[in-house]
Amino acid sequence: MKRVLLVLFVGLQFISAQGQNKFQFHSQNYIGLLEGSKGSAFGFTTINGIQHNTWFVGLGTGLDWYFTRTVPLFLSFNKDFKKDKNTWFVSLDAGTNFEWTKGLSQGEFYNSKFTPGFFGGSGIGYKAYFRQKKEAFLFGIGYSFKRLKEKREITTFCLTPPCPNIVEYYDSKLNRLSIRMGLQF
Amino acid sequence: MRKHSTVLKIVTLLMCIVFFAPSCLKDKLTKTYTILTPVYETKEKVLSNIKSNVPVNVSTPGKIYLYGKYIFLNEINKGVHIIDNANPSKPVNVAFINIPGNLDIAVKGNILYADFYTDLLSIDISNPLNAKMSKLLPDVFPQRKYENWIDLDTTRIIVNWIKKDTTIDISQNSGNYGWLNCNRCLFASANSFADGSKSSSSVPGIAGSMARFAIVNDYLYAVNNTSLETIKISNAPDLSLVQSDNVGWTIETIFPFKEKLFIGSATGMYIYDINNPAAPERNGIFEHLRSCDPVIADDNYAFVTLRSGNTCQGFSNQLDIVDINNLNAPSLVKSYNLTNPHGLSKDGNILFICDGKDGLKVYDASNVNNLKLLKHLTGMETYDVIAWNKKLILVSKTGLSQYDYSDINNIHLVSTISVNR
Repeated sequence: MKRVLLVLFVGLQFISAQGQNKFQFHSQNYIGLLEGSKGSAFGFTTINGIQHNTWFVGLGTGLDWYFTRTVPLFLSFNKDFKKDKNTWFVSLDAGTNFEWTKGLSQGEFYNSKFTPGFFGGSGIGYKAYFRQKKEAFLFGIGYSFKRLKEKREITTFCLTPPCPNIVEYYDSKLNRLSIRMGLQF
Repeated sequence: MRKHSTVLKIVTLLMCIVFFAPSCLKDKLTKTYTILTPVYETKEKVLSNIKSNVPVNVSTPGKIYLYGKYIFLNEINKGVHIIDNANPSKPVNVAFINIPGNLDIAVKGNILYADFYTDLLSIDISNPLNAKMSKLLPDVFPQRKYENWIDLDTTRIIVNWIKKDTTIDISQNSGNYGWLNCNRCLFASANSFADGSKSSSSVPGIAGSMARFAIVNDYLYAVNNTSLETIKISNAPDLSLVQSDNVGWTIETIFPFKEKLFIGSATGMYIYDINNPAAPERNGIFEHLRSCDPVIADDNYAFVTLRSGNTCQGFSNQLDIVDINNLNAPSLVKSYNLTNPHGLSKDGNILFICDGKDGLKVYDASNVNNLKLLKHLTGMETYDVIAWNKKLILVSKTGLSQYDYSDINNIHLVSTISVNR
């Protein structure tokens, strides 16, 4: 994973250097709230990619504390309504997410195995440039979805091993409202 | 002014979305688990079938008992495999005795003693290929009255379970997923047995350390969750309950050594004196942190493995060596960290410990203050072991294996009867 990100980062830098006029590397970094029927949770996202005219495409990751702590990995597409000005934009994210539950839901008396599930979202945002027009303040609101599957094996009451395990399968499809703000470099 | 008005409208709209949209967004959480439905037979029919039947594959091996050339292997809650071990390199599964609810076994003379849910059976095995049920002693193990939350009645016996996967919506559960809230989730319990010294008429066999039955001379001692049952077997196959002594909570295993019984519980090791065999008397207790703890002993020391787990609770995974020279005040000599120890066995100064998923560990125990690891067999999840006559009988998740340890530096596999689920 680190290698992929490194190659992508270097590639993006290269493309950016090759075509300063057409392609620009940007890093969008958000913090925000995720609201759903399981309550509120904090989220952090960083998306790094290329801006070409009014289009932006990047690779995103972060941390998502909603229900089960996860790490998303996704492709993000933005379409600005205006070029190089303060503008509204729409966004679309799609990818996967991995569990990061150690210390949160892993129990002493059961073992969990998670399967990565779909992660995605869409929304609308506003981009307000600072004076130099290099950095911008970002605000966004939209819908976010993540899915996780868990296989949980629980050791049963048993005085003489081998003790049979209870096996439970959990499937969570989580629908959230995402409100976020951040900075673009 | 107009611009400010537009911004105000947008902010108002966003505020509405923030406050009202989450109520429209519903999470969908499901949980899939197995429920069990009991299959019943009349008690009369089940008892008539407690005899040697054609051998069946080993599926869920439980406790082991070595007697003469035979190995008796419990199939958890199903019965007993009879394995002809005349040639340890080619053990032959020769018969299976159907005993629903069976977890523990012990053998003396020509009689196999086995639990049958709440009852104790004596089974004539003078010809193991033609075993026959002899006597039944009812209600020796009252805690077995319930099986998977089902109250067993006296006329019907559960002989099998039908498994069925069920998916339920748990979206409304608070917190994370919730906990074990499924009735009759796949859930079963198990037990075992042990042995002792010389008898006036016949010699009992050798049990694993996870045993809950122990035969010493004319008495069978059986522990259930809270008590020690003393059963007279001198007039075999007759069974006669002579005493039931409350020991404590979460009693797990029993190990006989000379005139003593060592009883392992989740909170300590109890030592009972059986100089008066009909009325065991408590000598001392060695208390430890809450853990499961099979125990074995020799003249000077008791070896207690502590492990964590659901039933056992606690967080200790270690071997405690306890000085038992003063039986009224046993004292800890030293503790050794292990991974998840279960059964253990000792032959002279060689100590064998089943360490769960960490395999089998073989120690030189000539100096209890400095155990030396001689061998570590990995790649199997081990539960119980009997070391006898330079042959090691080992029960693991993969089956019943036998090793030759006549050369301790070259312990090698002799044979395996594999689990076939």
